Amino acid sequence: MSRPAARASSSTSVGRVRIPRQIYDELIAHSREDAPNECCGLIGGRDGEIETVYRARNSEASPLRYNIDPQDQFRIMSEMEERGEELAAIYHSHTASPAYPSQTDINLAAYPDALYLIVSLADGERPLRGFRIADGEVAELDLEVE
Amino acid sequence: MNADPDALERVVARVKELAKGYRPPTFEEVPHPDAALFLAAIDHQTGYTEPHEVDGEGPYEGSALLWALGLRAERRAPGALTARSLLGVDPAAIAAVFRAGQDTLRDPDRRAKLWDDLATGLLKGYGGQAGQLIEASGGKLAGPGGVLVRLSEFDAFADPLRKKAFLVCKIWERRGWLTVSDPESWEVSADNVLMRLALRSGLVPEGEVEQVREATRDAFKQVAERAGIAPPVLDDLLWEKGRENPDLIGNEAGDLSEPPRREGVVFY
Repeated sequence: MSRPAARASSSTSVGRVRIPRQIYDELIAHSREDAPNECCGLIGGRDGEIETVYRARNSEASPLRYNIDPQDQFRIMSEMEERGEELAAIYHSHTASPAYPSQTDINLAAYPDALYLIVSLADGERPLRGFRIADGEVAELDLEVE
Repeated sequence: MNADPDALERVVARVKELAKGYRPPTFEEVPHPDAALFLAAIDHQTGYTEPHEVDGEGPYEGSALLWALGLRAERRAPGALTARSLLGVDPAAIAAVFRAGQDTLRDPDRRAKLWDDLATGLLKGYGGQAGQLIEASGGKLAGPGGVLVRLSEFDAFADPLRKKAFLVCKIWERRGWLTVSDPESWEVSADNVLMRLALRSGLVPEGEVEQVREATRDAFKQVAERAGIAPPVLDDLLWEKGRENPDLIGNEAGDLSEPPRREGVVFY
């Protein structure tokens, strides 16, 4: 669990992560269903591959911030354990702003090794972007949706 | 039981030296009283086979690894380490939350029962909040109505020597959540590290595990009094410096180790 399973390429400085199309679609769908509030959840993986989206409730129920519901976290971690998956990524949505970590996201990011996926529902914005956030520094990864 | 007088004198002198400039941990990483309570409740015989880093920090091993992983779960989902979240928790969730690579916490089923019992009791008696338990005690550690008696009603804290209870009280006090009105009731947490130190220094004689635990607790209380150090601070000092150095306070009694744990107990 301490290392995310997302695949990162060493060929570029920022890294690259492969996102299966159905995972991408699921993240967008969850974001739309929970709008105008931010949605959130965890993504499980195995052997370096992203595999399963686990939706969580946003305990803040807010359009401006998110916290994963603590009971959902235990339920999801239990399901991942039973499937033999590891935590691969943490995702949430921005309903009216770009898919880039807000200052709140940066302040609350406690997992320097984790992949953070952010969905944007705002017009004209890239709908999904991925980051690592460590010590207040944000590094974007290239997402390869296939 | 009184400690060996010669050994006591030697150990007090060594402890005074060791304590110069020592700063005990502040436990700032523990975000609220419930997190301390629930992690202390399952802090025994972790079973981790090797040290692991957690999010670039560490490496941690044993109990320190358990705390690092548990606090990470709390950071990810604030409120995770509270009664409402942990009531009826699935053992598989515990195995997952406390997993580090291929290594995870031993006996998640037993720990799930301990958390469920604690969550149930806390919800029933204290609105699900450790803060209410602290408030109900009026700051008293020992005696009727004190924190130690209240904690002993939960399976996780039923240890007659109250190792886990003193651990959680120490964190609560250090974080400012508990103001102790009877500081004379403080004792050290007699765990494997402190038992090993006490045995090797000649402070306590060899014996059955419960005898050695009790003798260790009593002996270090005398050391604390004579050295002018609060037992919780002495507890931190000995544990931090003695984990890697079993001869920290002397080895006059030879190459001794703590007695083996009894199978199935949820303390020591």
